[in-house]
Amino acid sequence: MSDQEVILRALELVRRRLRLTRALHDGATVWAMIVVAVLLWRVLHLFAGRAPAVVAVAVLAALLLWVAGLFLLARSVLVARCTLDVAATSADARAGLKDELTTAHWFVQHPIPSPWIDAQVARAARSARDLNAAALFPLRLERRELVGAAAAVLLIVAAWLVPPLAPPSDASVVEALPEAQAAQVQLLRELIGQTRDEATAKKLQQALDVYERKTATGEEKQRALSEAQRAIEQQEVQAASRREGLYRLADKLRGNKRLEEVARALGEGDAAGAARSMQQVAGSNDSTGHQDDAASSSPGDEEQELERLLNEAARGEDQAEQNGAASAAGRQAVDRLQQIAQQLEVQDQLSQAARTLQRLQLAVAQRSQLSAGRFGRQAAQNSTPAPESGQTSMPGGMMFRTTAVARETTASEQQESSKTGSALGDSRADPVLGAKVTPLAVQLKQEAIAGQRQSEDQGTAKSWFYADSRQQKSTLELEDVRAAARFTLGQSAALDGVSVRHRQIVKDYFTAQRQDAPP
Amino acid sequence: MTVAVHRRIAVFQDNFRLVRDEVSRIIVGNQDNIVGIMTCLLARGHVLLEGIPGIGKTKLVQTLADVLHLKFSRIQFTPDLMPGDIVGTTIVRETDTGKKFMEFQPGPIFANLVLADEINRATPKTQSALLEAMQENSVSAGGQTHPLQQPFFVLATMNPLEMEGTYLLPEAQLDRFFFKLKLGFPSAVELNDILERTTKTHEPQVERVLGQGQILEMRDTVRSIPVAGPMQDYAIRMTLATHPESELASDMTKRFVRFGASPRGTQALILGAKVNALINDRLYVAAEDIRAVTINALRHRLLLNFDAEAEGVDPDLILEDILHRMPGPSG
Repeated sequence: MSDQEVILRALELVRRRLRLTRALHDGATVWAMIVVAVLLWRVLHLFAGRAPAVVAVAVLAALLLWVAGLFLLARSVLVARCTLDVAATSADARAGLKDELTTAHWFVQHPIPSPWIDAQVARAARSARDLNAAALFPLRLERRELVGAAAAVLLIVAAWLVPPLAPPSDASVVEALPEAQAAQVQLLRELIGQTRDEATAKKLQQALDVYERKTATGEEKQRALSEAQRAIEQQEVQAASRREGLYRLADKLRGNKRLEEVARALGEGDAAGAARSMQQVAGSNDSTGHQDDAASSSPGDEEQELERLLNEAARGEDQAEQNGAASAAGRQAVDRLQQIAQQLEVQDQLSQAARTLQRLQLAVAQRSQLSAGRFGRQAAQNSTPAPESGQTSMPGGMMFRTTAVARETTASEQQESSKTGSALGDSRADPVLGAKVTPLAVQLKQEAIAGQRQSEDQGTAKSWFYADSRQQKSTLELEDVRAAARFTLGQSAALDGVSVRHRQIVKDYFTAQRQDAPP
Repeated sequence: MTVAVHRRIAVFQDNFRLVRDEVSRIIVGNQDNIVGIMTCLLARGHVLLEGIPGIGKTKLVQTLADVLHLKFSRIQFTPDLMPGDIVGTTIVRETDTGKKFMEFQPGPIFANLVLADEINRATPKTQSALLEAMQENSVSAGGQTHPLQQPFFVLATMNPLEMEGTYLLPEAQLDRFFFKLKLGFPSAVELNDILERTTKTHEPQVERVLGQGQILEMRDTVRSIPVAGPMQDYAIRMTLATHPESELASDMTKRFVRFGASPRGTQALILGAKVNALINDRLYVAAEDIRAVTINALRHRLLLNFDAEAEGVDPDLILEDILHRMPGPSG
C-alpha cells in the first residue's frame, strides 16, 4: 500500500468517525429541542389558567422558535458535508499533527514531482498509520451535554410535580358576569310584562333580544339597555305629567265643598285616595268602566274627561232631577281615578325596576372589561352636575362641584370665564376670554317656561281672529301640563343628577366653558 | 531521494544550531532575535534591529559576522553621509604609461554582511542608496551595474528614542527589510550573565563555524520546502487582514490602519515560515510556522493612521488581534 493510499484510508476512517460523532451530537441537539419543547409546554400549561392570552402568544413564539431551530439544524446537517479535507484538518487538530495530514492530503490531491513532497507524504503516512480514529473521536457525549440533559430531565420532573397555578381572582368576575347578565335578562322580561306602552315594550324587547344573543358584544348590550332606559324615562315623564294634571285638577276642585276630600287627595298625588273619597261622595259604585279607552288616552284628555265627570257628579248632588246621570258620572269618575292610580302604581314599579336594572348594568360594567369611564358615557349619557345640587353621580361615588355650578341669577365674571387662583373664590376672576354665556340656571328656567310662553302668545294671537275649538283648547292645556312637568323635572334633581330634558342644555353649557378655557 | 532530503534537513539543522550556539556565547538572551536574524539571512532577506542604546544591537551583528566566515563591513550612518560613501565612487586613475582611466572604487556595501548602524541618522537620499542593493543585490554606479557577492545581508540598527536629528525611514525602504526585530531590555538574570562575561579578564571568543558555501546551501534548502495550498492561502489571508478595505479586515484594522502589508510581506511570511518549519524539523509549512513569523514580518509594513498614533496603538497589537481572530487553514 502506497503512502498516498495509507493517508487516504486513514482519512476515510476519520471521516466515518466524524459523521458518527456529528450524528450523535445532532441527535443530542434534537433531543434537547424536544426536551425544551416539552418543558416549555408544561410551563405554559402551568400558567394557562393565570394568563391565557400571554400563554397563547408565548406558545406561538415558542413554536416559531422551535421550527426555526429545527430548520437551522436541518440546514447545518445538509450543508456541513464531511469531506476528507475536513477529516484531515480535524485529525490534525485532535492528534496535534500541526497540519501534517492536511498538507499531505493536499499534496496527494495536487501531485507535484518533488523529493521534498514525497518525503513529506511518507512522513505523513507514518503518522496516518499511527492514527487511532476511535480514540481521537470517541462516540460519547461531552460532560456538559450530559449535565445539561440531566438538568433538563430534573426540570421536567419538577414541572410535572408542580400543580397548575390557580386562576386569578378575575376568573370569579368572569363567572359572575353571566350571573349578573342573567339577572338583567330576568329583569328585562319582568319590565316587558309590566309596561303597557307598546314603544317602550318594543325597546325593552329589543334589549332583551340583544342580551340573549350570544354573539352580542358588551358594548352592544350596553347600547341596547341604554335605549330601553330612555324609553322608560319617557314613560316616567308621562307619569310625572299625569301627576301634575291631577294636581291642577285638585286646584280647580278646591272651590267645591263636596269634592274637598277628593281635591285634597288629588293635591297629594294620591289617586287611589281620591277614588275612595269620590266613592263615598257618589255612593255605591257598580260601574264596569272603560279601562281600555282610558288606558289608550293621553294624560291631557284624561284630565279633561276626569274633570268633566267630577263636575257632573258634583252637579248631580245639587239637582235632584239629575241624580241618575250624576251617580253614573260619579261612578265613572271613581273608575277613572282607580285606573289612574293603578297606572301610576305600575309606573312606580316600572321606575323602580329600571333603577334596579341600571344598578345591575353599573355592576356588570365595573366588572367587565368596559372601563368605568366608558360605562359612564353610555349609561349616564351626561354626568354633568345638576344646577341645584351641584354634584354629579358618577360610577364609584359622588363628585361635588359646587364651585363649578352657577347659582347667581345674573352672570358673574367667575361664571363666564375661567376661574383661577384661590379655590375659595376670594380672588378676582380672570378677564373674560370666551363668548358671553347665559348662566345655566337662567337657561334652565327659560327652557322650562318656554312652552307656557309660546302657548300664551299663540292663544293671544289667535283670540282676535277666531275662537279656540274644544280640541284646540285641550291641546293647549296639554302643553301647559307638559311644560309644567318639564319644569318640575328640571327643578327636581333626578337620580342621575340631571333630567332628561335639561341634559343637552347643561352639556352645551359646560362644553362651551371648556372650549373657551385657556389652554 | 528521500534520504537526500533528510540529510539536507539534518545538515541545515546542525549548521543552524552551530551558529546559534556560537552566537549565544557572546550574546546573552535574545534567542528569538538570533533565530530571527538567521531566518532573514537564510531567506535572503535583510533585517532591521530596533532597540534602545546599549542593549547589544551592534554587538549581536558583530558576533554574527565573526561566527560566519563572511566579508563584513560596518557603515556608521551620520547626517553628512553621502550615497557615494556607501556604494562607492568612480575615480580617475593613471597607468604607468600616463594614460588616465576611470575606475570604480567599491564602497562598504560590497560585503557579505553589512551593518548599517543607526540607519535613521542619515538623510533619506543616503538611505535610499541601499534600496537597489537590498532589493536587486547589485549596485549601479558610473553607468555600470556591479553585482554584489552572495550572500548579501544588510543588518540595520535603529534607535527608537533619539528622534532629534534623525530621519524616519521611508516606507519603501522599510518594506525592503525582511524582518523588523525589537530588542528588549535584558532581565536581571541576563544582566548578571552579561556582567559575568564582559567584566573579567577573559572575554569569550567565538569561532567561525559557517562558510559562504554552507550558507548558500542552507538558503537553497529553505527554498525547497513545499508549501501546500491551504497554507499559502492562510498567509494570503493574513496579509489581506492587514488591509482596512479588505473583507477579512478586523475592526481594529479598519480603525487604525491606513495601509496594509505589501506582497513582500506575504513573501516574507512564507519564506520565514519555511525556515521556521526546518528549524522545527518539518518538511512542510504549517500554519504554526506562519503565525510564528507574522509579527516580525509584518509589523514594519503597516502604516497606521492618526487615531492609532493618538491612542498609542502599536502595530504588534493589531497583528496579535489578527492572529487571534484569523481562522486556521482548512483543506
